[in-house]
Amino acid sequence: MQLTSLKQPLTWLGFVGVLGIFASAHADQIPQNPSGEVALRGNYWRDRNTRVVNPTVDIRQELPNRVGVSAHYMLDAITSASIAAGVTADEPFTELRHEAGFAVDIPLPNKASLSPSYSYSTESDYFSHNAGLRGKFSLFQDNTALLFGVDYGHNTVAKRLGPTGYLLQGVLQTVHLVALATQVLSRHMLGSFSYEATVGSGYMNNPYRPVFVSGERREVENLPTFRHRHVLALSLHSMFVRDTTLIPYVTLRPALRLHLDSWGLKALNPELATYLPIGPVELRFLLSWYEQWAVDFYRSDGIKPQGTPDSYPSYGSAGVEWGTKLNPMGQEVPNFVYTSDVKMGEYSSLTAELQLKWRLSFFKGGSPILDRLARSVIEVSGGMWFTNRAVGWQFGIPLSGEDPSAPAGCSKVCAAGFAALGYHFPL
Amino acid sequence: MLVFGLGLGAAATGCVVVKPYQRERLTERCMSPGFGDASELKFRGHWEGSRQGAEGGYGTAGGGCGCN
Repeated sequence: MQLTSLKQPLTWLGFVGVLGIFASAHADQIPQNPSGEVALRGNYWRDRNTRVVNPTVDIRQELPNRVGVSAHYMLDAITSASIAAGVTADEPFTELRHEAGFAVDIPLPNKASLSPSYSYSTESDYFSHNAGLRGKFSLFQDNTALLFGVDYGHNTVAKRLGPTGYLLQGVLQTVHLVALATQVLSRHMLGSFSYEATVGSGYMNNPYRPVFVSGERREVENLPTFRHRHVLALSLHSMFVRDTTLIPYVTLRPALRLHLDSWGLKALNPELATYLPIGPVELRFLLSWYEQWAVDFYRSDGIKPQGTPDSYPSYGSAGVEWGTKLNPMGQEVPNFVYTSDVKMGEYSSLTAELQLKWRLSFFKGGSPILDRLARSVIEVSGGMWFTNRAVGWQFGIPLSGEDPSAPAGCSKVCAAGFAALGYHFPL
Repeated sequence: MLVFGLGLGAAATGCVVVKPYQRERLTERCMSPGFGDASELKFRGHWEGSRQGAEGGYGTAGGGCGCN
């Protein structure tokens, strides 16, 4: 009791102290570091059956001849205990994925630039090469920026056999195209529009994902081998300038994404980010709504694993006819597809995130090294992902103690959490 | 709606040319085109790709899986 009564005034004192620091600080916005920076970031994700720890390093530097070079490395440490992860009981295991890549930004006449890039990702059962090319063009005194890009991905998919072995399942090739236009609309406003298309051909199954088809358990899902996806994105950055030194502006960034693909999946994703600088700190609050309609071959009309919700995928028939395939004798026969991937179904989600960026400007004025430290930025963020239906049941952590599905799943308020800690140092 | 938005945007920008010396506010980090820093978007794309049927829309390509 005494400890609690002591804690409350201390919390308030701390709060008032922090307010005092902000109140005494002048506006000290967070500029970009155009010449280069090192960004260290640790990302964290936690849902009902997966935990991801994801440290990353990004380095970007512009050389004296204006050629820009950048490189990144990331480690994905994924601890999972889901059925889809190849485990049938509570036997969590950790898998590591490494990804490294680089890009070069070559300046061309008339403020255009060309940027080739390459990255490689490896884990015990998935190996991926990605090569890309971006062209950037600047028009109308830099008021309009255009970007065109193409990426090619070559992915080798395998299935683990014990600690070190794996069995090759197939190859997936992807081509990604992007066109993006950014327009300065006023001194305080800019808008962006982008279109992306991704064509995938090859093995798209998750080799660990069993499916109930006609009352029988099939060990692996059977997805179509061709998919093209399209995304339209529209966003606006609008800054509202205020005549105060403490909070000199508020920036709103509404955005809308529309997803369509050849499997019949449709999704709408409106979001709003609000940026609020308070002294040396910038707060960003993000709200993102995601509404998805199921792929054409998603069914939940068969026998389901015990305890799963009505929307859980299963097939009363042999699957959904989807084109044809060649049987072992070389004859063309109907191809039946089926999946137990809950994220192919209909559901909605809400993501809420708070990010804080703090420029360490109190170092300023001591020495060149301290001046550089004064331009560095610490970033802390955290958020929640709320979702429903089969996706919520499978991934969501029950937030209500009276949830009848817990611990097998979630049926009331289901959510996952994520957080990040980062440091940006100018070069 | 998109076409309307684009049309409105095009109409609004028709004659607007903001000079370089008028772009002080546009150099703030929060006014960078796009949806965040590269590593932030990479991670967001990563968890969205393994929890959503659709992904992308940030102008960057995927790579690797980390989803099994």
